[in-house]
Amino acid sequence: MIRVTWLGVVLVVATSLVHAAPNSSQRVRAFARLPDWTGLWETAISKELTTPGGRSSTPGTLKLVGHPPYNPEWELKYQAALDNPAVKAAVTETLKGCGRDAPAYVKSFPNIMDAPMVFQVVVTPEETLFVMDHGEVRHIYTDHRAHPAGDDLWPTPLGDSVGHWAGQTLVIDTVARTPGPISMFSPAAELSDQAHFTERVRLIDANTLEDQLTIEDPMRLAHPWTVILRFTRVLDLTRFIPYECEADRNPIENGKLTIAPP
Amino acid sequence: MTVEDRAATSINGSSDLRVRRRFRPSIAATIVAAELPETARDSYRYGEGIVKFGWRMLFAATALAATALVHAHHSGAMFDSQKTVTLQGTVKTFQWSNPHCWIQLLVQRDGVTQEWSVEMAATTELYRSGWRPHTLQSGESVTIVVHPMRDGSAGAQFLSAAGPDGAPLGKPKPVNAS
Repeated sequence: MIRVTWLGVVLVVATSLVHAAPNSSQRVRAFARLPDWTGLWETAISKELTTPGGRSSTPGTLKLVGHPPYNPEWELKYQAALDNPAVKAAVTETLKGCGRDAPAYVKSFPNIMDAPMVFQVVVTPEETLFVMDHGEVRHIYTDHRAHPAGDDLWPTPLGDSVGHWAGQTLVIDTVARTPGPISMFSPAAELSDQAHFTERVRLIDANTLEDQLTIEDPMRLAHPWTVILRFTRVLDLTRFIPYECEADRNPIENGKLTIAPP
Repeated sequence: MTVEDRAATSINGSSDLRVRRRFRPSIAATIVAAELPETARDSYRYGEGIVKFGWRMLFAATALAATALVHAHHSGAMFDSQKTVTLQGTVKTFQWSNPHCWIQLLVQRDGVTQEWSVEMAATTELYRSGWRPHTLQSGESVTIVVHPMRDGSAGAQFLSAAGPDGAPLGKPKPVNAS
């Protein structure tokens, strides 16, 4: 009986030591090898729109609104979509980034990397998080895992991302993204659920993160499409301010945006 | 023929001025799209030639400029960016919220009080521009410069504001200001 009691005590103590153990020296070393991307960052269009009126005072720098290199079949469909009045109106008349009537794809990758966003990057040995002020969180697993296989994987707006470090560059591989427009500003340009995204994210100077994004889509693109996104360090905010859409007063009525009373 | 007209001709494949002008807004957005520097470089790499490359760069500039029409939360189409109106009135409420902050402004005109809804940016943008939730108080007199709604309703997009003393609102005071 005494032996059993002692065995129990030993087990309890051992278990508590495991849980109380600080980071292993191996993990601390892994942390030390990672780049320091602390602070807040913003997309190029966010930087331009930071005025009390919310209006850009300089030409935009959207990158994902370019003409994707579609294969012949999808080039025809893309051109037809450009001529579709409803598609045109989706940008010129009724574009909404959140709230009622906003399309689901505004919350999808890669749109969130080229939409008006402030975000934080959290780098750990196991994963890197892109925490967007609109609420989306990209999880980039860097623990050497593969994408889920078979029935364990299905399309989601942000897709499934794994990554690895090539020196100080984070290489991200994303698949299983819900098919649909690449950018909220270009609803005519759609990708299939077979789209494959490769990103190379690195600090190019103290206040600039660069994201070289290559999109492949065997169903729609004739060849890979690469764009360079640049994010600027936010120096005039000292804390992350979540952006909710709780007071949306811009309903769409008769195909036009309008203003609702308070 | 303006750059926009030429761009519209390129997009629509038509030389009809009416068509081009009608579709000009679409350049602002849908075809914003069209060509950006990376794409132009791709085109050059794929042998479309330096002349076309140059044209596409020009078109890209047009498209990029058009992007300025895009609002942080939604299209700016409902506001008339060609018109600037100055409103003098009394603050009914200052709504500090997302996706937009709002000033409900009571404006006297011809003996009638009209309530305007002035749309501002989101809280983060305002905060970064020196505004705070209590920058405006109910009952305060204020002068606001806006782009009005196209449909003539009493709504507008905020451009700038000044208090009764004419000092601009939202700008942090210099450290040494008295």
